[in-house]
Amino acid sequence: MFTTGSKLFLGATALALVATLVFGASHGGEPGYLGTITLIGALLALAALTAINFFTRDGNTPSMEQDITRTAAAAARAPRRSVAPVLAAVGVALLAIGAETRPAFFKGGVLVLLVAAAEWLVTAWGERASGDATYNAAVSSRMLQPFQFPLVAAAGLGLVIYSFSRVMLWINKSGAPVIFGVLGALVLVGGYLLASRPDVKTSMITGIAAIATLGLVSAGAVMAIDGQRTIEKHPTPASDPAVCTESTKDAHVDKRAPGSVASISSPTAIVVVKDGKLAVYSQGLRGARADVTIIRGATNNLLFRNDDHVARRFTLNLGTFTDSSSGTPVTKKPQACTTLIEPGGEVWKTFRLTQPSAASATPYTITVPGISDQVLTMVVP
Amino acid sequence: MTRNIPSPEVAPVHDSPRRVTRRRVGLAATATGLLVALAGCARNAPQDTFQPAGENARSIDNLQRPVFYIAGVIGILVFAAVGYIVWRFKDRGQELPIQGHGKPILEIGPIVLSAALLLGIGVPTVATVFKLAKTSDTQCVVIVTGQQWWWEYTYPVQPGCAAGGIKQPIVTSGQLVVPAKTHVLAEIQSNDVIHSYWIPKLNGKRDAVPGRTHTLRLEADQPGIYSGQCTEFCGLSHARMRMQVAALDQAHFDTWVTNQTAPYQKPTDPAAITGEATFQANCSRCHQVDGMADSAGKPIISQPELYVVSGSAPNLSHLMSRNTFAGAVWDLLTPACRDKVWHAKPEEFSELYLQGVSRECLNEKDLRDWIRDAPAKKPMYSSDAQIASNNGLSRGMPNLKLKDDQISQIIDYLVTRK
Repeated sequence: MFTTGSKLFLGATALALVATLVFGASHGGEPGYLGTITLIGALLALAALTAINFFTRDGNTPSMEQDITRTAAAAARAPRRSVAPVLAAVGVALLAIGAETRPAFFKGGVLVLLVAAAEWLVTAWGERASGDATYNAAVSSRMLQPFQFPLVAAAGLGLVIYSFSRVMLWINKSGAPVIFGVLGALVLVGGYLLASRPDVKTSMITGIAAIATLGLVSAGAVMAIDGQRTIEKHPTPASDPAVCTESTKDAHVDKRAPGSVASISSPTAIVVVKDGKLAVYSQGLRGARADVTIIRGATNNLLFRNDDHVARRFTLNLGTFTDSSSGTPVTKKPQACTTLIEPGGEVWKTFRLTQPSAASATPYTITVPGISDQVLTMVVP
Repeated sequence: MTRNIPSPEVAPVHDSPRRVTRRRVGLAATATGLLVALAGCARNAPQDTFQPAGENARSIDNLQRPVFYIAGVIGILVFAAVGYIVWRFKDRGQELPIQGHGKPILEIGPIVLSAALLLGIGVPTVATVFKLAKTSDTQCVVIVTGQQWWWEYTYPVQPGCAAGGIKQPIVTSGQLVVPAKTHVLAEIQSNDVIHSYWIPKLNGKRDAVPGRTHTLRLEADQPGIYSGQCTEFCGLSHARMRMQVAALDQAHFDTWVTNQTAPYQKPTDPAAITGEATFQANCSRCHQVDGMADSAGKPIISQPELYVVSGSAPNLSHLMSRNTFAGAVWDLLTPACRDKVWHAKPEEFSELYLQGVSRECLNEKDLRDWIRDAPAKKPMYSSDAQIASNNGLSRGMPNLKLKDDQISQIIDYLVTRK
């Protein structure tokens, strides 16, 4: 009574019905409504397809037309081997893993399933495009290969790059440049050798490349599972008063932390301490000054240079403000400072001031702990 | 017997429709080309890079003109040679000529010639680049800050620029006022996105990049107005982000500095006093007016960082000392008054510019329209819905929904801000 195709669609419709009932019963709220409506839509669409297919009896031709059993598309050769089922299985596996572990796997699974579905659909269509198997193979390739080749190449390249990155992140910091250099040299020498021997067999090159890729991917997998090396995270220069007012207390900070690309070539001003004297040098203004104008609202970069004979830190005293928002007035004296800078060293400080000098009860200043008589003024209009 | 031989019909000479169309298209293309070419001859173009009005722009002009001539001649020669070869050796079914390896002299000759030409252009180019990057001869420093969609100018505390130096910072916008015949160094920054500062008659372009400070030398030969506009696409109203440099002679510039740093003058006119209160209630949360205090005598400090993405709004302390507003797009002066100032002789310009905007010369219509509904006049990302979707921050001035009498009061107050 039921044809083969109808059974498939009937099964899919039943599955959609079950999914709709289960989802609708287990999910409430707006996402629940949306999901249920979507599943009802899928259910109706599948039911309609089932009905059409049942009505047309899978599109089977009447038995009187004998010729059609040889020439019809359905009479073409049995399907060729296809990678789509394997791909779909991988997608389902990723979905299952992703549901329990990381969302990235789940999203990857959805992507793989979509690719598998597209591949499967076009292959299935191509295998039955006509009664001529040669034509079917050609049309199938013409449809699929423009997508297959770039996708496979991108996936392969991505796998190699990812594996390589895992290897480099697993190796210790000092060994990584050596390994990178050696691998680069090997690729160069290998390329030179192959180029100088044009008669070498293609199969041999393919074999070497396959072994190298396999080795890299295997190493990448092992090292990804083992995890990357420990990368130290250095805090940025402190804003802790206990540190900013101390002349010797050092916090373990990354001296280049604010060394962004932006701050490398464009200081608002250079602040120097030398022989116990503090001075600021601004672009276009000749000589050392005791004040610097800082633009309100803009990102400012100051370069601090220690030309003194002992380690120094620079402290920005960012005014005095009274906060009455909680009902009780609270006086705040924000500060920011650099790390201790060795003699001859430099440190960047990037900051943004939103309040003008007039809003503060005390001026904005730059000081160096340990040198009490030296103060630079920051004027914020 | 004579035979009547019908005379052959002579068809009237008519061009085919295709030929007529082709001729029309050709004429239109020629006319358009001529129009574009002749536009380059305009003498009153305010943003013509070929009319330098300062040392730095002249350095660029001195470099680009010979390069332009050399490149033009070479271009014509190359096109002529290609045209000749295409016509002379067109495939007419002739036999292929003997395929030789080529003539080394013909291959090496042009390479050597090109290299020599590039060297000839490269040396003065590098020299000009270094010359334009020089900062050691600076006489006056101005910090130029770009934001959507206007320029702010801050004159830092410095010993030079004016007689006796600048002892307290000056903040203004739209029009950069500088002393003529002075090496001015613009330190260019940005508060939000990338902009580009360009006054074609005074120097080349310089990008304003957030987090960086780029320098640009400016020097005007003589007093006058020099126009420019932002040349890096920076959002909705990029086309309406303009600027002018107003160059004054040194004595008048000194007076300008004195005016800008003068203490706050409370309005005395009753209408302006009412306007000051209206301004405080509606405008001062973003716009700073230096020295303005509330009824308790406490200084009013604007907080644009709470309302605007760039964290900045134009300082209106001396609005009426400028000639333009809203990103230097609209005139504060009526057309007649504007022409009188902007087209004044260099020796008269400084005096006229310092007069600022009087009530009689005020272009009240545009100012009123702007205060009533700024986004309607200049596209900005500042509707209620857009502000709500942007953490309460606006890009540009929002519509404050002020009533007409409030707008009049604010204008009465602003007119006193010279």
